[in-house]
Amino acid sequence: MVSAKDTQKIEERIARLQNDTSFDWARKPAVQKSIAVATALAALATPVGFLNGSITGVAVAAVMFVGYFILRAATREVAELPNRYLDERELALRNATYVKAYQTAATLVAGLAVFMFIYAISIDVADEKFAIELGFDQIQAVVWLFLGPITVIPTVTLALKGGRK
Amino acid sequence: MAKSKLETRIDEGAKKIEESAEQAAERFERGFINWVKNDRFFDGFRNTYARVLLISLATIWLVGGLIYCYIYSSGFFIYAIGVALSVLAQKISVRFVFTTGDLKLADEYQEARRNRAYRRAYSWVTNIVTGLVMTILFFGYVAVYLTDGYIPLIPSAFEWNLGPYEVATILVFFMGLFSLIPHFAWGFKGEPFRSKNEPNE
Repeated sequence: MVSAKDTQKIEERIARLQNDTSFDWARKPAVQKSIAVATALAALATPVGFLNGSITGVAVAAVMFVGYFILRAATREVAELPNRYLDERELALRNATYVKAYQTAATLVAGLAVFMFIYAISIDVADEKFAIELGFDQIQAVVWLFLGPITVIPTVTLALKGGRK
Repeated sequence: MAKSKLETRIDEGAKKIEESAEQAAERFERGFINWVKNDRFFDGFRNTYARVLLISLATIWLVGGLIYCYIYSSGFFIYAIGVALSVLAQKISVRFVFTTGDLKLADEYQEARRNRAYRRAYSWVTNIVTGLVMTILFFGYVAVYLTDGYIPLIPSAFEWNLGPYEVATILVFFMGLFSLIPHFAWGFKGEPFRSKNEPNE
């Protein structure tokens, strides 16, 4: 259970966040949308980066996380805050954002599953066994293939919708 | 050049057919929306007890079927049909509110509850997918341990042999999972019991 002291700390942090002006530069619509697109691209590129070696993978993941944290600050964390800190309009906006986020995530996973199915059939037609052999970097790629997009999709979607000014 | 009588008649006929097709499509759409909003035939799918039962059955079928088909390499079509029927039963149970698009099937209350369900569904799916990836990694490490007798921090390779049958089973599982989770996140609370004689409000 969260103690009264912790609750107070959280409330102070949220109050700071709601009055923050240091990220106003990232709240301009064009800048916010550009960062959102760059973050989404970095999330998709992270697994590819890991397939080209750990250093490339970490570098691309770092770009994704920098973009993600800027967007979180720019949208004042509306996608992540608990319900009691959001007003009615923000709650509606946040929940509507998750509709789009869910559909995007479902499309990505379904696309991946269909791709795997077609690939498995093509391998089977060629009379080979479809065997996945994963080295360390490939495992990183698989983990980030899911974890990256799933982490950033709600905040990116909110930023593309305009977020909270 | 002036159109011949025949050409004019053909144009008029085509126009009439087009208009009546549009009217039929509109009538069908209105009828469908009306049926979705006022249907009483499937009331047995919509009360709280029915929702608990439907959610339990769908979960058992989705997970149990995946394990069975994966291990025994049989029963795929029955599994796929069962998953499709589970999704259909859930859609009927919540009056198709998760069907987003041009059709306006949800009222304001249903729309708010649907959006909240999507948010819960997103966090559930995040946990499920992360859990699955971690489980696969765990079994990978166990396999390396059984082969080499020790667990290296960075194993040289994990191996996972899959045939198209297993991949197809996993595909159906993910399709079913992503279709069902928002319906589960909608919650158990269903429509109140009503006798057949009670009118719609």
